[in-house]
Amino acid sequence: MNDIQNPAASAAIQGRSPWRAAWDSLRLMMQDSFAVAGVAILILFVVTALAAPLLAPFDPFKAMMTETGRLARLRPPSGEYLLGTTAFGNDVLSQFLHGFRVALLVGLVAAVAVGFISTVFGVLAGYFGGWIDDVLMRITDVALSIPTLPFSIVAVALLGPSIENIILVITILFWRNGARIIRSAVLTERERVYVKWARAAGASHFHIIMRHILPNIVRVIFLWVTMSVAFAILTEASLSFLGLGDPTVISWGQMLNTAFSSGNLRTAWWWVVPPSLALVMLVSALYLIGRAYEEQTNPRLRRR
Amino acid sequence: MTATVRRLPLWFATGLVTFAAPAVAQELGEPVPALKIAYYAADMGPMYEQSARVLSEEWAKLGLTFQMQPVQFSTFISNIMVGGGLEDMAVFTVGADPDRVDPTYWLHDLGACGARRNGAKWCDEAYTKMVQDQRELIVQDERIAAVHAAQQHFYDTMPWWPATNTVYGILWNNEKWENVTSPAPVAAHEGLIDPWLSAKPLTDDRWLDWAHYEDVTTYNPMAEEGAVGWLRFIYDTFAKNNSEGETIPWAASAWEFTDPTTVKITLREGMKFHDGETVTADDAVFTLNKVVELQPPAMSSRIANIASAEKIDNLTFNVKLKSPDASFITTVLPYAFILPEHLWADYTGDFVARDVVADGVAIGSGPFKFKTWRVNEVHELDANPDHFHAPGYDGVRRLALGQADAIRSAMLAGTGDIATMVLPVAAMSDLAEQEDFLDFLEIPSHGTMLIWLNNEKEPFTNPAFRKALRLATAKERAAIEGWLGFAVPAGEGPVPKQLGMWYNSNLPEIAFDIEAARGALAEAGFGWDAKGRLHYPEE
Amino acid sequence: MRAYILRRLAQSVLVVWAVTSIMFFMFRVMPADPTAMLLERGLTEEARQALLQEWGLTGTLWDQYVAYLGNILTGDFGSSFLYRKPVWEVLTPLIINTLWIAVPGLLLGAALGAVIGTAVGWAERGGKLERSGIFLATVIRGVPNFVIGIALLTIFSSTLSWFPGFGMGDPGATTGFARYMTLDFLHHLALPLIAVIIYFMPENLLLMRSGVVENRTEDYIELIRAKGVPQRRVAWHAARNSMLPLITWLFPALAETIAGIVVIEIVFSWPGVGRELVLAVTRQDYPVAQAAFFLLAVMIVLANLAADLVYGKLDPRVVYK
Repeated sequence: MNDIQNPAASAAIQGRSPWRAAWDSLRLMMQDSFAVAGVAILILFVVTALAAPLLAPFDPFKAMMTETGRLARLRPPSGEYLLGTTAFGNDVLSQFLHGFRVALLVGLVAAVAVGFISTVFGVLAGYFGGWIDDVLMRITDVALSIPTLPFSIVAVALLGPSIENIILVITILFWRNGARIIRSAVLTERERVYVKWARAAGASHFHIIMRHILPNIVRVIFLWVTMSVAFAILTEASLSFLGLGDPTVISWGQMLNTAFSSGNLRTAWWWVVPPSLALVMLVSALYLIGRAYEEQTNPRLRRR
Repeated sequence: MTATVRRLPLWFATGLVTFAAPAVAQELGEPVPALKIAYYAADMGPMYEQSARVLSEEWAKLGLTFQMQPVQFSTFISNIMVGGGLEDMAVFTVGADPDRVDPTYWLHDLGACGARRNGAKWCDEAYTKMVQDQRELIVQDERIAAVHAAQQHFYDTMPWWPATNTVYGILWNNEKWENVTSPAPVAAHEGLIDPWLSAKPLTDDRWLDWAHYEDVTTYNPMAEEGAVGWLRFIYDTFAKNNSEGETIPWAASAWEFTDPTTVKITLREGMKFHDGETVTADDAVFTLNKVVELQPPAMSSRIANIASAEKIDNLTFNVKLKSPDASFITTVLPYAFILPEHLWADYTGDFVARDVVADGVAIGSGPFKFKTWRVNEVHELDANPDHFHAPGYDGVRRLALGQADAIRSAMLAGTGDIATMVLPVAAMSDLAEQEDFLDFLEIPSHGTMLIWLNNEKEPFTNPAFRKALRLATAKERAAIEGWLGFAVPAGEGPVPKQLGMWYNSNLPEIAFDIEAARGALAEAGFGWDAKGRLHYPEE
Repeated sequence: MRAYILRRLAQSVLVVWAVTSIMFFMFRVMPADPTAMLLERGLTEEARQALLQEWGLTGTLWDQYVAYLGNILTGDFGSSFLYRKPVWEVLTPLIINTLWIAVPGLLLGAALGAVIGTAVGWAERGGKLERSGIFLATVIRGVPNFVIGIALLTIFSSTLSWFPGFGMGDPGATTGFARYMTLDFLHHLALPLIAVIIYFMPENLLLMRSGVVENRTEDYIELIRAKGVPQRRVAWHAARNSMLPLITWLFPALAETIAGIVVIEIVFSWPGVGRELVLAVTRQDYPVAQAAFFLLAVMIVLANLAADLVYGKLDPRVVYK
């Protein structure tokens, strides 16, 4: 916050662009070596996801047959099937690669949706206060009292197991924590001197929110969005693992569920390890990035 | 693969193609729209999805596109099977329930006009009359002839058809148990003689641990809906169905139709309830009249045709039926149970809701006696050494493990002695191959995966279209890829060939043939556009 | 203070009512049918209607809702469709089973997290210990709980055979309350408990570490240090003051974790309330599922309330309004 502490009076009323603030925050984050590792993994995963259809040697649902017309099931890794086959004779590598797409799609959509809803809720409640704050925060209270996973199970059972519904449920669930955190950040910003100056100088609410509030809470939003992506991916994986995933797309949780429900969890390591490892890497990478934002938002944690 | 599988970013691409297509063909009718295939969602196991996918891959070669619709079991039953909500097609399985060894279920219940479970919405008055009449033929040869004729009629119309018959299995620990025998064609359903009562212990551990999936929900036989057979371990039935498909004497030593609506039943001599009281015709008559009076929902389908029961002497009684019903012997005698009148007659509460465990009246005359139950965990039944077919061991335990992986682990650790049905059959067979101390037995059953069509809607109302779909039904692939080889291609007509004499083996086999299927469509005026998409005949 | 508590209580009741209502309507509009199992076996329509009547599923949605709320107020949550007994008779033993892994798991996880977190927070900034501590904690935090379960089972049950692979006791083991006192039970308890600890610890650790880092530069710490107090004791002072956010976080985390234990219960076939909840949803046993949700909502609300009150007790700066 040091960089905006001593502005010229006119600059104070002008504020600064939220995009510029986002960029600054991003650059600051990249100074953290753990976060850099996280970003590197993330990029690797995104590239893999984009290239998955090209990289995958087989259709993920195609049953592999032996020359004698039998199903090539539960084959350990070999030259033919690099990561072996599942109990249904599907190529593990191909399924694994397609899993990247689902994980990142879920993460991306949840990030945009949750980031947007949380920000709107948080900023409106925090900035305007009064009855708007009361109503929005009571809604948040109710939402916060809904146990996450059990609710997702019921909601998916209600809506039907499709990837769209799972994303919808995740969005419904995770805006709530973000909204509360962003609101408290806005509350702090609202009381700052330059906001009062801007107000006195006749700046509109919209101007103040966009140029004064948002630029200063952008790190909190980034922090929350990163965490939401991680939670969203974990929730989709858990739901799929419980057998509530979308059966027409292959996700890592789904792969593990098939291994689990066919009783091969503890033996077919080539089928279990890749999706597990990928999940751990992706979610950890996000947490590493999130941690860097956490240090940014809490200056007392920064090294001096 | 034409849109059978939806890979994520591809959907809109496929959408665009379909959008652009119709302009091409002029002399054709409208394109056949994408057809919805409903199937049991993955919570019932991955076989259904895999089968639906494989079958639709072949059907797609007729120029069709499909939308896969996974449906949860309960939704499927209430909306599609009973609720008439079948939109286009369904690929699903009906289980190898013991009462389904009678052809009535396959012919009438799934196919007659207005039958509750006729979800394919096919209605043929002549056929309906045939399948209603066959039930009333008490002379077996006459009934067989009628059943075969009905199958022929069904075959000629082809409103829907079976794809595969499920193969079940038993996995057991051969170091601890022997003489574990198959109850085929019925899956190793509890309450059968095999493999339960015939098993013999080889070690001092004389408790048979059954590594199972589900819990039992109540020990009140009027209310239990899932673990019906487990309760029949405690409460004797009048008869049992054996592996030859015959109905053999159990608590009843004999029965006969004295007229088309009266069955005279003689009880076995010397039977005792677990509390030491003798079993008499009074108990049987009391029980039957009580269930007729109360019509417990869990029993309603089986007892619907019983009018009353009356005592003749201490061991014999008559059951009066509302209408003549030959299937009474195969479906009701192995199902109906005997409650001890002295423990129930004075009970003033709701019989169906009675908590028999809390009241200490989980008492029957069966080969096992109730011992303990911990919800979602374990059930224990002591052997009843006084039973006329007492098990050769001390008791049976049902471990409600809830998931295949734990069942597998239990079998490997030796905590489980026997596993049936719920562990995927392929996994059982794998285990037996890997471990010397585990043996595996295949049980071919009459459980069937059916392909249903909405017989009230185009294009399924067109016989040529049904025929083409039938010709393009890859039963073999579904059995191998969908069921991992633990299903066999089904026979022709609605009745499973596993039912032996009831199956009409004269129905000519229809071989899988995509070219013939396309030929049948072309002959009926269907055609294909430049994109290979099937169109209706021109109006 | 009293007014504050009363207001918070009223708010809590409102929140529980809202969650209960949401759940009620969700279960009622669900397309699934609780009579499906019987329907497949040929349940007649009259018998079906009788059953729906008995279960309170007839009449308008509004009437059902009013009846349901009325019953809840008298403590009657209905009877399980499946077990045909009052829901609490079904749920109570399962709740106890869940608490057996949840409470010790959380406490041990919190304690371990606090100790390691203090060590990491007190370590040299940018040093090996700090960096590897943070890195490991963040990575472990990213492991989904079913993956933890799978890994534990594969290693310690299937490969090494040190622990049993499922359930709460060997078949035929002691019954009744005495079972909780047996070695057999502890043997079965070990793996799921470790899974809960691993699932719960990293977040705790990171939180504690942040607290210690924030506190270590405070003046009073410098003062204590200047007095020549040994390092270990100084760290303890810093840690004690970092407990505050930890404790306030612990209560809601407890509630949320109990809800999240579902997956661990399923992987380990632990007969707990979470597993029953999932089964109840898939088997359309609404009364059981609704009661379980009610319980979870009450727990979360109470935990938040307790967190606020404890925070106020421990931190004199907080003023209740």
